[in-house]
Amino acid sequence: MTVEEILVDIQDISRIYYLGSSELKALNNLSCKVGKGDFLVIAGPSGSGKTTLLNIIGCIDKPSSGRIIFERKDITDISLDKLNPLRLNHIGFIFQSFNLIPVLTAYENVELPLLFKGLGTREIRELAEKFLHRVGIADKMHQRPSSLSGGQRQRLSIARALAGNPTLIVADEPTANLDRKNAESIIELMRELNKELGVTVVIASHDQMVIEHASSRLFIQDGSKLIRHE
Amino acid sequence: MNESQIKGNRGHYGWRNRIKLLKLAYRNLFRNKRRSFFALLIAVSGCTALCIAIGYYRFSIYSLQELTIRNGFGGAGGSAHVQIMDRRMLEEQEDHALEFGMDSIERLETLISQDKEVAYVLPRIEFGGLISNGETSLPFKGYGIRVPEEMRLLAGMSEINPRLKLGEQLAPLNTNRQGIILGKGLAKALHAKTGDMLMMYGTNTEGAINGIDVELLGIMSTGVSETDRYYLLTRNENAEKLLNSHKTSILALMFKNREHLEDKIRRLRSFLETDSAGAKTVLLPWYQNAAFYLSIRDIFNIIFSFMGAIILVIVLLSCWNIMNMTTMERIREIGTLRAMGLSRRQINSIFVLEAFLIGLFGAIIGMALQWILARIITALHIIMPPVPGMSRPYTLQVYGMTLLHPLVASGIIAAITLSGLSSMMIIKRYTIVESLDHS
Repeated sequence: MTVEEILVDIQDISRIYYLGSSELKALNNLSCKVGKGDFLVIAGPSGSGKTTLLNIIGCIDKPSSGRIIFERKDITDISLDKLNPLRLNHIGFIFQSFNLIPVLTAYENVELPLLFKGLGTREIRELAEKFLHRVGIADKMHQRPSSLSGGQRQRLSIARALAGNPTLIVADEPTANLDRKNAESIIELMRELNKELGVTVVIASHDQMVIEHASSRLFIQDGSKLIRHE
Repeated sequence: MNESQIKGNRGHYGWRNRIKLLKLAYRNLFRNKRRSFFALLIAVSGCTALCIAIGYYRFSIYSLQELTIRNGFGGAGGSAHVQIMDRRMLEEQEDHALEFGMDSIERLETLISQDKEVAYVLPRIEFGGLISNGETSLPFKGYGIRVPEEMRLLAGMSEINPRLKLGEQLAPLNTNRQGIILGKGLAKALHAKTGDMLMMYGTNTEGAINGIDVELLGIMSTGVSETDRYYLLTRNENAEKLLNSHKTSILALMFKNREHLEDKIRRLRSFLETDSAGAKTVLLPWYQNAAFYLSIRDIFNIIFSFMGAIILVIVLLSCWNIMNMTTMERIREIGTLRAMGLSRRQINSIFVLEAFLIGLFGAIIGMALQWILARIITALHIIMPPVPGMSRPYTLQVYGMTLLHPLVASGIIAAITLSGLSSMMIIKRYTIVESLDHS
């Protein structure tokens, strides 16, 4: 992978959590690269550190040591608050429990982060409608999340993540709360969008079906990388 | 990726987007209806309580002003809107009665009456002396007045407070009989009753002692018990006879209303300066001769400001607590928004907007409620104890709408909006990952 092809370069990172006087090493001198347009699945058993790694890749957590390079820029020493614009403009998030705003309609949920991006009303409407159509819930546009099924909710959170035209999508166990059929359809949708839009997707999951869909896989255990399959 | 790409779009958003955020804040109010209801209840209660207090304050202040103008707190009577007197009255002490009195009163009155804003003029003579029942002689402070005008001045108080029918007590003087009205305390000390004949002594303008027989036509209370012990009222004609002079101490003057008083006084001064007698006079607006009113007003200002501050703090702290609970309930949502790249300030603005809406609705409902309550309280005709220095009780009134009411409502909105900042501290307490893991 050439330097130009790397989106996120994780260099020898460790993440230590302090619980009173004891410390817990969630990541241990781990290095990995996320290529542009990749569909990477971070796999591993529960407690292996895959969510911690995903959080660091998604710029919502900082490593205790090591360096992070995002699109050739070293962002290790930039505070999370100062990385707000980076996340707002370049990273989309998909969560296990959807994390949608219950008082907003599907359309408004997609619209909200776009409002904060400072886009014009027309542009926001076009983007929100386009992605709601793309994920197949345009007819549910004016419904609130509570009236949507689990699969529809996750589609909605995909639309929300994509509407801001991000470079990277990070998804933490996106299929964990879905039945098999919905899980497959969600992963297929994400894979399609990855190919169609060229957006890089990084998923943390221990679901075998998700792992099988990946273009590359990273297996970790006890905070250390075991193997990477391309 | 360069620096500007990291910074990216900094998240400026226009008014349309702000309206959408307001819509989000409005919808959030319905998430926990019970809590929002309590927050609203606090806002309504605070606004209503403050507005009623302000309504009562404004009534009290206005009544005190009118009482100063129409009744006074011990003296010839109300200060009226303006008092015209010889310039020397402000600079020197008179050696004998009417030394600095104004003559040419008719000419001055003619001059003043050219001003269409003037309603009526009240010439007054101030004098002192002894009043005797033949056995006991007591000092008095006397005032010669033009009765119909003074009655009219006092009667104006009834428009503000129907319980205070002040003009009627001067009615016995409105006769051609050579009589006086005594203050309650003075009449009691003289063991005098209405209809008794008394002897009134005074020093005339030449310094000689003079005395005239007078009939006690009435006994009255000025409202100030201290004043009642030396108070004497008579018609100007009787005072002139005793003092052997046609001079007048002051000309009190009432305009048709109190609006733009400074302008009216300025215009009147220009009228008077065209006359040789008028040029020697000075014009004193009512508030320059109202030490009692000013001291009570200052006390009221301190009391009501303190009370208002306490209510605002209670409202702020109560809503602060509610906003804390609201924020704690939505920690995961905050984590989601922060992960999406919204700054703490932007997220906090959603909570601040929620608090603002509670404040706004609370202030609107509170204003409406206080208006209704103010009308009910006023209609109940609650009798209040006399104000300090007064002996008459009065009927409680609460003004439903004054210029201060919108200010109070704004204060409530500001205090509750401020409580929205409480979320800022909670947002700061959690990292993004901790917020997302919060259950």
